[in-house]
Amino acid sequence: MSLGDAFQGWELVHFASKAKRHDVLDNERRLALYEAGRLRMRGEAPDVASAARLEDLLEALVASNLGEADCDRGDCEACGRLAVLESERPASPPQVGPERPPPPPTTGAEPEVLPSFIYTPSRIPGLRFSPRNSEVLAKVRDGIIEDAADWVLHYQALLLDAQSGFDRLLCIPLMRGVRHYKYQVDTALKVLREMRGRAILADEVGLGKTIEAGMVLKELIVRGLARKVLILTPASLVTQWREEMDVKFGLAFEIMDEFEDWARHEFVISSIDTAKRGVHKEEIQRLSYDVVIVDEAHKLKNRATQNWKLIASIRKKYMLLLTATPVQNDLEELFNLVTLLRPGQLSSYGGFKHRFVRRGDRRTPSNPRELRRLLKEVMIRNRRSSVLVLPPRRVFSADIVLSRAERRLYEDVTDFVRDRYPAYGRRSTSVNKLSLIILQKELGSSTFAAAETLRKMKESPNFPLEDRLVLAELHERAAAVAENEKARRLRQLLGRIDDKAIVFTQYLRTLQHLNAVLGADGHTVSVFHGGMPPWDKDESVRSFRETNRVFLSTEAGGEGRNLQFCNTVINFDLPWNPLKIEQRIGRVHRLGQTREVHIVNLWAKDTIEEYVIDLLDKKINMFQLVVGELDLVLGRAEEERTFEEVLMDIWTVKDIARRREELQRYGERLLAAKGQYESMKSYQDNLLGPELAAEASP
Amino acid sequence: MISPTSVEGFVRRYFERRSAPLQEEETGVYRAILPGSLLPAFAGAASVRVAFLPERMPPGGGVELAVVGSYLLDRIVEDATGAGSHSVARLSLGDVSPREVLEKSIRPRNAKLSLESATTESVPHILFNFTVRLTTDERVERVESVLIDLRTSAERRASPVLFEEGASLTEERAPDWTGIEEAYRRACGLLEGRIEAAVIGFRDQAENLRKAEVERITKYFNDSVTEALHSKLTDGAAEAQALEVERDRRLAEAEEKYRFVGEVELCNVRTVHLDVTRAEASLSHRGARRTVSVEFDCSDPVAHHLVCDECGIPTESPVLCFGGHLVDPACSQGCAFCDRVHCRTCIAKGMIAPCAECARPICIDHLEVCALSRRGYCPDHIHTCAICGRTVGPNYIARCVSCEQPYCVVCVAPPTDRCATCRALQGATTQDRAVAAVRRSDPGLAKITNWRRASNPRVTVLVGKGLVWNHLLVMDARGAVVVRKKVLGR
Repeated sequence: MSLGDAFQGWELVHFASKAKRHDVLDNERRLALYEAGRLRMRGEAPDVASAARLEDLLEALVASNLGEADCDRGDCEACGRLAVLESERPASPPQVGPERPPPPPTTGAEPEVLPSFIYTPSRIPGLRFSPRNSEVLAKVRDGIIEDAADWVLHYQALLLDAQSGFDRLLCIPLMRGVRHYKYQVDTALKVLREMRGRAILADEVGLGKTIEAGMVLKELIVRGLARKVLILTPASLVTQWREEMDVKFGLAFEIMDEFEDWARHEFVISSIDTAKRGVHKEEIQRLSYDVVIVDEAHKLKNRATQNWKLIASIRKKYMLLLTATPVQNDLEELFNLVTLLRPGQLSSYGGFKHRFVRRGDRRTPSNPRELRRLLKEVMIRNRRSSVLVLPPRRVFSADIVLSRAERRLYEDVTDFVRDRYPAYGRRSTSVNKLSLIILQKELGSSTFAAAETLRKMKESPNFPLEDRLVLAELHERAAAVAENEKARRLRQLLGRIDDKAIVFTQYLRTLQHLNAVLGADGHTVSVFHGGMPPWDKDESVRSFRETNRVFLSTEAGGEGRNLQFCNTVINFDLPWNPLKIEQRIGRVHRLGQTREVHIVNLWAKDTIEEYVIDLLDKKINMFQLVVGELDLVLGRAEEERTFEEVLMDIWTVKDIARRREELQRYGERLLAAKGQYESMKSYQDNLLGPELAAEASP
Repeated sequence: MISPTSVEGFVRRYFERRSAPLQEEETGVYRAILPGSLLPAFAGAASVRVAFLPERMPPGGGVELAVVGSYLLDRIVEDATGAGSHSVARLSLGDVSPREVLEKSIRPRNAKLSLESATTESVPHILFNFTVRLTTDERVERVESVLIDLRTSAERRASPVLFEEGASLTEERAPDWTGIEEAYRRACGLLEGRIEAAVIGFRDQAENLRKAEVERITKYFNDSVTEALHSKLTDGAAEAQALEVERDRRLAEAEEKYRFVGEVELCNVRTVHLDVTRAEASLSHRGARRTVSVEFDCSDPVAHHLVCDECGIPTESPVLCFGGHLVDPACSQGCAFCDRVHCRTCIAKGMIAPCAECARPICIDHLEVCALSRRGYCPDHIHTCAICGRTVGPNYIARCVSCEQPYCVVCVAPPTDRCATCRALQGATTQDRAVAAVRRSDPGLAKITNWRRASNPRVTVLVGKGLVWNHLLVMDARGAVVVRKKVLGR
C-alpha cells in the first residue's frame, strides 16, 4: 500500500494545516497537499502525476517527523499513524523534498529603476510614477521593437480596462441567471456611491438582500477594490451563501471549517459560531479584509455579545450588514447595529439616549424624523409595497379520498415508518431514517414514486432482515396499485380549467405517470425535470409558452425560468419544506404577472399532507405570506428543528390522541410566532418609515 | 463608457491577430481558437465558445461571456498587455499640398492668405501611453497619451491615426532614441499638468471624507470613554480601556480606507517618424501685410491656429489689424463706416474711438471732432454749421426761433435766439430771383411787394411784409420752400 492510501482526505488537509503551523513544507507544496486532500474528500481520483506528487509530499512529511509534532487536535489518530510511519523509516535529516528552483519574480515586486528614467512629480504630492515604467523605456532605448498590431491591441486593452468611478454597475452582465430589479441596482449604486461601501441592507423579507450584497461585492471585486472577503452567516445558511455566490455571481467561496487556514483563501464563508471560536477568532482579527458581509445581522443587536465584539474587531474596508429586522424590541438594538457599522453616526450611547429615547419608553423615538435622517445615511430598506406590486393570490384546496388499495398501503407503510423511525435514532443523517422520511413523502405523491424506494430499501443491507421482509411485501403491494386518486382528480381539474397550468410534483416517477395519463386525455404537456439537458429544458419552456397547455415539472422547474405568462399552479404533492412551496408559487407570482394567481393544493385526507395543509394553510395562511416571511415565522416557532423534522416527529407519534395534541400545540406556536412577527413588522414599518428606500427622494 | 460593441470589436481583433477569426456557431455564440498564451488559463482547451451578450448565454453553461470584468476578457486583456510595449511607425505627408492645408486651417477674416514657401522633413517623435490610476475607497483610471517631438521636446497633439495599426510602415532607418530620457521626463511633466486638477479634486474628496470619519470616530469614542468612566453600572476603567483600543483600530481602519494612492504607469510607447512641414505664409489687405510661420505634421495635416497677438489664444479666423497685428476677432474692432480694423493695442492708441453720441466705433478716417466740446463724433452725429462752418456735436446745435434752421450755438445768439442769417435780413426787390420765384408760385404772395432777404450756404430766408400778415419762407439750395410761416406783421 502506498503512503497516499494510508490517509483519508480530511487527514491530508489536517496535515497541510499542521505543516503550516510547524513550517515544514513550502507554501506551494503545502497547497498541493491541501488540494490532494480536498480531491479525496470529494471522492475524485487523482491522475498519475498528482498521485506521485502526493507520495513525495507524504515522504517529506514522514522525513520531517510531522506526526510527532504537537497537534491542536490533541490525541490525533492521523498524526499517530503518521508517527508510526516515521518510526519505521531509517533516521534521516529533516528534508522537504528536492531542491526547487527559486520562484519567478511576482508581478507585485518592484523592479530596479534606471536612474535616468526617474521622474519625481512636482505638482501633485502623493502621485507616483511607477518604477515599472523604466522597463518599457529600457526596451525603447535598447531598440526592442514589437509588432504594430500587438502594440495597437495593447493600447486598446488599456482603454477597455480603464474604469471610471461608480458610474454604473459593471457586474450586471456578469450575474448568471439572476433576475434583478431596478431597486436592487439603485441599492447597490447607493451603497457604493453614497455610503462608500458600508451599509445596513434592511430590505423587507423576500426582496433579495443577498442579491444586493452580491452585486456590491462583485462590483468591488471587478473594479479591483476587493481581494479578501469574509462572509459571516448563521451556520444553517453557510452552504446556501456559498452556492448563491458561486452560481449567481461566479465567486468561489471556501467554507471555513475546523481545519481550514484563514489566510490561505481570499474568499471565505463561515458561520459566526465558528468564527468566534478561540483560534479562528485570533486568526480573523490578525487578518485584514476588504469586504465583510454579515447575514442575519439582527443577531448583532447586543453590543455586549461575543458576536458584536467579533465583528467590531475585524479590520475591514467595506462592510454590509444584512437584516430584515434591524430593530425588534427597542431602540438600543438599532443603536448597536449602526454603531457597529459607523461608530458615532448616532452619537455615543449617552448622546443617543438623550436625543432619541423617551423616558419609560424604549421603543418610540422622541425625534423620529431626525433619527430617520441619520439612518438614511447608513441604511437602505426597500419595502415590498413600493417596489413589487403583485396581483393577489387565491388558494384552492382539493381534498382527496384515497382508493381502498392506496389507503391500505398508506396505512401499512405509515405503521412501518412509525414503528421504525424512533428506533433509528435522532440523527437525521442516518441513512435508514432518511429513507423512511423519503418513503413517507413519496407515498404522499404516488404509489409509483414509493414503489421504487421500497424496492431499494428491501434490497439494502442497511435494514435488518425482518424489516426487509416487510419492505418486500410492501413493495409488491405498491407495485400492484394501478390507480391513483390524485391523478384522477387532477384530470378532472384540468378539464375544468381553460387556461395554461403548471403542475408541480417532487418525484420523477409521479411525473412520468402524470405525463402518460394527461397525454392520454389529449392534453398537450411540456415536461421539465432536473435530468434533462439544458437545451431540452429551454425547448420545454418555449413549447409551454407557445403551444402546450400543461407544464409538468419537478422542483427543478423552479430555477430561474420565467413562467409568469401562466397564472395557475397546481401542487400535485406538497413538499414538507415550505420554502420549496414558496419557490413553486414564486415562478408565476412575480414581477410581470398581471393576473390573479391561482394555487391549487391537492392533498389526501388522513395523511401527513393533511397535517401540512392544516399547519401551513389553515393555521398561518402561508399561501398569503410573501417569500421569506414564512421562514421568519417558522424560525420563531421552532429554532432547533426544521419544519420537516417537527412534522415527522409529530407524525411518528403512535398514540393518536398525543399526536393530535402535539399537532395542536405546534400549530398554536406557529400562530403565536406569526403574531409576534406581524407585530414586529408593524413596529419596524412605523419606526423606519418609507424614506430609507434606495430610490426615495431626499 | 464602454459599450458591448467596443468589447466585441476588441475581442474579435484579438483573436484575428493571435489565432483565428471567431466563427459563429449559433446566434450570438462564437467559437474562438485559443492562442497558446491563453491555453493554461483554460485548462489546455484548444478553443472556447464566446458570447458578448449575457442573454446569449445558454443556461447549461459552456460559453465564456466576454464583457468587462469577465474571466475571458480579463485573460485577454492580460495577454494583450503582455506584448506590444514598443513599436515604430512612419507617416508621410504624401500628396497633401501645404497650400491646401494652410487654406483649410487658417481662414483670415479680412485678409488674403498666400503661401510664400514650404519645407517638409521627417522628425522623430515619441508617443507615450500612460495609465493614471487613482485609488481611495473607489478607483478611477484613465489612459492619457503624450506625443513629444524629440527634436524640440515640444508636445504635439496625438492624432487618432497614431493609434492605428495602418499608421505603421516598414521602418527603413534605425530610429535614434538618444533623447528618450528627456522626452519621458518632459511627457511626465506635461501629463502632470494635464491631470493635476482631476487628481487633486479626487484626493481632496477622499481627504474630506477621511477627516469627517476620523472626527466622528474620535468624538464617539471620547464621549463613550467619558460615559464609561462616569458609569455606576459597569467596570468603567476596563470599558474605557477597551474603547480606547477599539478607537485606535477604527481610526487606523479609516486612514486605510481613504488613503490616496495615485500611480502613473507607462504602458506602451510608440516611436513615430512624422513628416513635419514648416511653411511661411503671408496675410495682407489694403492697409497691412504680415508674414507668419506655421508648422504641421502629416498625422494631423492641419496647421495650428495662429495665436492672437493680444490674448495669446489660438484663433481659427484671425483678423489682420491695419496696424499689422494678427488678432482674434474678439480682440479687434472695425470702423462702423469702413473696413478698417484695429487690435486693442492700436485702439488704445486712438486708431478707433467710439462716437460720443451713439458709441459706434469710428476709425480715424471717419471721426469728427466737435469744435466746441472737442469730443469725437461719427459722421451721423457731427453737424457742420451752415453759417460759420464749425463742426459741432449734437449738444452744441441750436435752432433759430425764426427760420427754425439748426446752427451751432454760437450762430444762434440770445437773447433773440435768432440765427445770424435771420438777423442779417435786408430789403430785396421783386426782381430778386428768389422773391420772384415765390411770388410766381403762390398767387397770395404775388400781391406783396415789400421783401427782405438773407442767405447762407444752405438756405435763403425771405420775409414778405403784407398789410396785416408777414410771410416767412425758407428755401433750400435747390429753391424748394422748406419752412413757411405766417405771422402778424409789426
